[in-house]
Amino acid sequence: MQAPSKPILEVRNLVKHFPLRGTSHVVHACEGVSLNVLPGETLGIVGESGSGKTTLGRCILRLIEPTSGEIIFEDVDITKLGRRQLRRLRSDIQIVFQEPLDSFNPQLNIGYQIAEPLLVHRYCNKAEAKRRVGELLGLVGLPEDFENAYPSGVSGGELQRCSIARAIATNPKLIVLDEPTSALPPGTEDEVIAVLRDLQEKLGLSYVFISHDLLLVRSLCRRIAVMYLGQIVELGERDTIFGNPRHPYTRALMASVLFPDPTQRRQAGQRGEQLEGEIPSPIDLPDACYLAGRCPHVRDRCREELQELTEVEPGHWVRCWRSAEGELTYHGPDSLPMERDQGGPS
Amino acid sequence: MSHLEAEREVEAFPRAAVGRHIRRRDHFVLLLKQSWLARIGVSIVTIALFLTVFGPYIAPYDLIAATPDIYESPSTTHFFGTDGSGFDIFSRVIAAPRYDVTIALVATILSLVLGSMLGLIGAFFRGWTGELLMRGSDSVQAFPLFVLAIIFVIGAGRSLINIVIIIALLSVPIFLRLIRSEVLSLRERAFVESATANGSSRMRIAFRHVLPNAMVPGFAQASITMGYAIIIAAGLSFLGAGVQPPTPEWGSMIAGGANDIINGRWWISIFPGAAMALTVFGFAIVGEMIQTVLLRRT
Repeated sequence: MQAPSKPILEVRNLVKHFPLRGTSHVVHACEGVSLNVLPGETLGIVGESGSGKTTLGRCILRLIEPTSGEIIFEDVDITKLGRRQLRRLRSDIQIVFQEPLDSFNPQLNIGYQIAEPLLVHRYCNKAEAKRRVGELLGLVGLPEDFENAYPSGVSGGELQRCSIARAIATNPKLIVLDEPTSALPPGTEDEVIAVLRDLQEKLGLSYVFISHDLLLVRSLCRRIAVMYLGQIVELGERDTIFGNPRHPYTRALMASVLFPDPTQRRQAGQRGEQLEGEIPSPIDLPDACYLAGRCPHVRDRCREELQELTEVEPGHWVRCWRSAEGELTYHGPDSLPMERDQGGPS
Repeated sequence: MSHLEAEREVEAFPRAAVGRHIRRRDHFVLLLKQSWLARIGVSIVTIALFLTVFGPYIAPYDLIAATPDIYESPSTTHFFGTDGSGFDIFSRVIAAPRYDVTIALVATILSLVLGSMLGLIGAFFRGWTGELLMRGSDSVQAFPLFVLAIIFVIGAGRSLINIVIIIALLSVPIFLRLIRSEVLSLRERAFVESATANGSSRMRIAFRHVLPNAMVPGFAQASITMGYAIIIAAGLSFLGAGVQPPTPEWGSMIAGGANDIINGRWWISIFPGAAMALTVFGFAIVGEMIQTVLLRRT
């Protein structure tokens, strides 16, 4: 159950449209995303490529300007801040990118780049910054002499840890982790995850963990949001999402997980949905359920109205009217869907 | 280590075993140790720069005093022979960098600085400012460089300063385009986003993160432009639009001896021509080395 504490970050109805040049069409990257992050928790955001999860992460830091919506961080609406205020706030929210080598300037040594946020925010003077860099490298489990290394001279996993060191330099409260392990070789993934866990415990950080790796999300996150075409289709506690997913898309996603345990894999395959076709183009989406064209349980109403994210049980939100109104239910965690076909809403 | 394996295009020099702490200076020395080409290039450039400063002083003969010893073939007294006025060609060949290299060097530095700044502006302000810069570049680049240079030199007068300025201005569009396109692609890189997320100001991002990376191909281009600039400077003199004889200068010396080649007096044109070609070659190699050292990985 959710802790009664106040969320550190609240995203309300976030919309991001990318205009297509020379046309009046737009790409719907985020279409009304609402979520919150509690202090010290990890919120997982999962979805396929193109589901808008990276855009969402960038919008939270305003690296991309959202089209509309509110992003409230500690009672301040970030979307309304001026450039100067925003820069000050940047020491509180940080980001770790997917590709470590790309997120470091090849011309500058690692020490300088870890110290940069400290110096930019006048957090401390140069001598202290140097000491702090050593301390930060220690926190992510790297020797101090890494400060003299250049990004091209260290391995991907090590560099990603440097990237984390840089992110925590100014003692932020929230870190957006945008697929931090996807570009790393399998062995290093665990090291990075261990560092992230360790830091969360030591520093009380909140994470927004963006990933397409469901197993990783399951092991790391307390709550999970599933995104499809710029919308959150299901949001809930980890065990709810994995144990009793209610949205057809989530169930299809679960069926795609390659569980290491064959029993689990069989169960997942059984309860999974088969979606038809491909993910549609995110340009000019209809005022209907975005999954309508692919969903095996589609009804006329799905094609006629936009779906709302509805709380079906405390802390469990689903964007599917059939699930919300109990038309589409699943008995037990591993069972096939039960449909009341001609029921209609009552 | 995947990023180290996925290497980029073929490079002229063997990639140094890039250890964790290699400094640029050490990398440069390593290249010298590893590669003959590097040693040749650095030697040529060093000699050219040395002659630029000291050439006229160490020349064994007077540079512009006519003597009765005309058309002497190369010998131990006149290494490169003498020409129709009795000038010692060796003396004049080693004194010539004072003009050719100086013109090219100053022009290249000017155009590199100007071009990079305009390129940065063109990439960051993509409204009418950027459009103006790009269409201006198009207009300049629509004409053959050399023809344009002759026209401007004739129009502005044949002074040394004018030649430098004209060569510099004509080379600006190359740098402008290059730096602009580099900046545009660098702006999308995660380390720039990361700097934004760190709270870095836009000036800091532009000058600390974007420009230094954009300058890497800029420097490589500069060495090529350096070669072109020598050729244009000498070419203008060859046509009589540049430095005037009897000033020792490669282009005018080649022109002066051109008619004598069919008479078998090949040394009058060949030696200044070879000196010029070698110099251009040397700068090209050093440019390549600079790029190898600067390009840690982009």
